[in-house]
Amino acid sequence: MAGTIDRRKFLKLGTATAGFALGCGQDNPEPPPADAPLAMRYRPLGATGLEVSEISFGAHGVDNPPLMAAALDAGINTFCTSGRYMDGREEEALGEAMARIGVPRDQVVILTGNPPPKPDETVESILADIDASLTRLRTDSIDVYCNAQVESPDDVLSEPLFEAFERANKAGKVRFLAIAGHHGGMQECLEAGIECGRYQVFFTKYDFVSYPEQDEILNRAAAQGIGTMVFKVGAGNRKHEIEDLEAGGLSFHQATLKWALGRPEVASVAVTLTSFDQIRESVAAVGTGLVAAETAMLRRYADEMRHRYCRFCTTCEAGCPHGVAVAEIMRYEMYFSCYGREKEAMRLYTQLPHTATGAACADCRGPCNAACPFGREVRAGLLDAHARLDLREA
Amino acid sequence: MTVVARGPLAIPTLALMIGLASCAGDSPIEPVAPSLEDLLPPVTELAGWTIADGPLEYTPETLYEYLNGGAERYDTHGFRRLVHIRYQHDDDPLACVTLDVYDMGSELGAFGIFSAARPLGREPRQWGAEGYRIGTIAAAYKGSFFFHGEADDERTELVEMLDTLMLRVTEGVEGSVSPPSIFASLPVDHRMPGSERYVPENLLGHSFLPGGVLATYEIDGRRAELFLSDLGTGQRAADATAALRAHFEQRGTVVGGSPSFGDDGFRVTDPIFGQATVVRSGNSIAGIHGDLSTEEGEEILRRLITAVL
Repeated sequence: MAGTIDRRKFLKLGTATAGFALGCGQDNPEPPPADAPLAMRYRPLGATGLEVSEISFGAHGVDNPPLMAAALDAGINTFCTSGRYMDGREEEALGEAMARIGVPRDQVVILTGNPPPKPDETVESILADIDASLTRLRTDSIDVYCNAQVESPDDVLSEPLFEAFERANKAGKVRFLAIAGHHGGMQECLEAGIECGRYQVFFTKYDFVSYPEQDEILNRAAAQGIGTMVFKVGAGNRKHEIEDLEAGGLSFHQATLKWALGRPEVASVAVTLTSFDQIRESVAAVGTGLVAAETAMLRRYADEMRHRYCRFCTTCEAGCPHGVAVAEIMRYEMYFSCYGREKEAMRLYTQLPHTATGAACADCRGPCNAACPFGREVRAGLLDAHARLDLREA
Repeated sequence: MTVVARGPLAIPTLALMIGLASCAGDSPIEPVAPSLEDLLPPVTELAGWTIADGPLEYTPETLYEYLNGGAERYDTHGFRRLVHIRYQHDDDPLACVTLDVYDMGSELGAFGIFSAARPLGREPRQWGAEGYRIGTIAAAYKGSFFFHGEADDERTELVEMLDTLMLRVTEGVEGSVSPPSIFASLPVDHRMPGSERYVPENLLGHSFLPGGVLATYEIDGRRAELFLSDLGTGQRAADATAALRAHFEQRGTVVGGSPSFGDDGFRVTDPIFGQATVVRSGNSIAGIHGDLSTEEGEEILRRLITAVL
């Protein structure tokens, strides 16, 4: 498809395919002018029958009715929040803003939810949570109720939640059920969500650096009628760590939105919007597609970031012959290198069993390198961290 | 037009109070900081209780693992560290109380995150500088720390432990028990208790406005919101005032007349923003908007300008 990139190739082929990625961009490297008219587009959310704006309003900023009104004026019709954000204050703020603006309820799509039920949680307590959300939102119906912050298939397959949803759905209080989350085990959660057939919507982290297998999962979800909304498309938003990344007037933010919206399985990208400028910048990304310079910018970011940081997913630990605590060590290294907490990082490292430290990596062939789903040089990173953090051999 | 007289120290002080907190998120993390774990009430002093989980520490890089999308708001308020712990009653894993201690890096950051989360229907508590409990949830702030606790359910022993933990953890932290000093400058008459807020960036949703403070005023059931932002220099304040006026010329209606105080003042009417008056004074921009009459709102605004600038 002209004007788009193949994400899997983009991710996997590395520098050798730079020409490919650049070649797939449009010829005009100039982004649209700042005062170009905004034109929102809408996509069906799977088989729900809901039409969601390609840009959704993230949880924050809804305590500012003029900002919400500006978002509505810009065509944003989808608002995402949670009963847990600020102890429900975010839902209250959204309800207050909708009331102040007087927006007809049927002209907005509302997503909200709560973390997975605890082991002792009853159907009645989940129904009480839903009622509390309705009260705070000042509405009688939630469009999409999220089983939020799922971390494992067990979180996804909650019978009390399913029963509560069925009862609330029959009462007209909730329309559709979603899985929401962004933890390392999200792929397994999505798989479980497809398998069980109880969810109509996925709301998941999605970016151009991480989790390449997620595309295939979302494809199968779409085939089953599950609609997908995404967030955190900025791949860590560490753009400030790359010099002149946005040179030439490019917007990394806009490019990430365009990239995500380039996937047909993605119905909408949720963005935190706290200013009028952010609304304009985000909505201006709709319908324009990646230009060559933006593709090159994303490629550069992916190339420079992919090996730079550990996602703490622990995938590599399963194959470590020494039981090295890779994720913990890399977390301590981050404390040391990124947060200036050198003493604490070294203290924590010292508390690890010596056999679980990077000391074990010195003479190891490093099967962890091949195990890292993000292509990091895990062993080298562990040795660097050990040299930096270890006090026992100093 | 009357130019409000101001003391020589007033403006730098205001800039310091708001400006430094605005920068909290960008400032480097101090390498030597007290362990947050030391602030947690020791389980050895809580008869019948054990630790079910933690202490776990989160950083700006990992906070989203705990708070999901809610982490962004903490980041903008200058979040530095969080320690999380769950205390368990007897041997019952389903009878726990969670306590979270956030180092927000500054008093305004801690107040800001606390004030952003104040829910309707809260019951005030004498914890720290300000605290409340609503059902099984409790929150407070003191100094640069924000405290949040939650009981698994409403069983008496859990809620009592929640109260105990909140009291003890807030008593164990040094810091003022008064609101951040900037709020002492806001007019008192008609101000709604607990309505004061601090926003670290994009005040009113405008990227040309940095952090600022807000408070709600009520007269005969009609409400208006007062705002104040320090731009650091007179030129920046003038530019921001012009930008705000331009915004309203596009989205609302700038009506005739201007207040008799401050500089570059203008009045606005907007179906959502309400009746508004905006003025610049020194390095700051201030205004009031909502359902109060122009006269009522401008009297509150005038008092603010007089007190602060």
